[in-house]
Amino acid sequence: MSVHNSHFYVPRADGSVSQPDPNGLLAAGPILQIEIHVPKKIAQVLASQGKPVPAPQTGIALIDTGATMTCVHEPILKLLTLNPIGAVTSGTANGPVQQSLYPASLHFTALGFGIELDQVAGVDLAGQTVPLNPPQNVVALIGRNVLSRCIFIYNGPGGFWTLAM
Amino acid sequence: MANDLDKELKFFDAHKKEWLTHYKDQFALVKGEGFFGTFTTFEEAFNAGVDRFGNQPFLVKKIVENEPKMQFPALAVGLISVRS
Repeated sequence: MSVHNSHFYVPRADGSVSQPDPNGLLAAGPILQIEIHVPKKIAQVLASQGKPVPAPQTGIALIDTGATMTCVHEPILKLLTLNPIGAVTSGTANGPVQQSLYPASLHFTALGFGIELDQVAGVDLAGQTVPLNPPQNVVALIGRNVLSRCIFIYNGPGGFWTLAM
Repeated sequence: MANDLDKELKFFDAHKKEWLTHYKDQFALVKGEGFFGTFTTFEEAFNAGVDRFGNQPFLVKKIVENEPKMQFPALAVGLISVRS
């Protein structure tokens, strides 16, 4: 099992770490670096047709325990030349909307682990940034279809979270 | 909102009642207004779709009476949106 611990600390003036920083975790949330790849099956088809397989797209993912399904910024899925294989209707403040579902492969670089997902929802995450230095764009929300395979611990007062997969 | 799979979704809905009697809980593979069989698992249906159509849009959908509800609170409150 791969285990990833993410701790937030208040830095000392000399640059060394001191005490846990719950506010750092509060501000950034449980985020991790991911790569979004073309699923193996589609990569094989592209290769067999002599077509290039698009390079993985990297970015920050935010763990979202409220989302049933993992969501990915749709322009990234398009960059990977992926096509929808399903749709789901969701409720919004402006009424029901239909979201396209795509196959995708997510690689969690910190965990050294990848998952082929049957479906991720294509959404617009434009403008969603994490207050890091420099700020980074959120490209995916990790939903419960991934968390169903993991142990996830969020320790607010301790300023850390753990994901084991 | 226009969807790449509008035709497939309409075709699925038009045949769902009929398919429920024969293929309940199976995964249907639909392209355009064509039905390309049912499969035991999503993965089998997806692989069959990629083998047949390549990297093109096609629909893989479980044949169930009541579809499971998906929750996206960030979408519901407008933190994220769906492009049209």
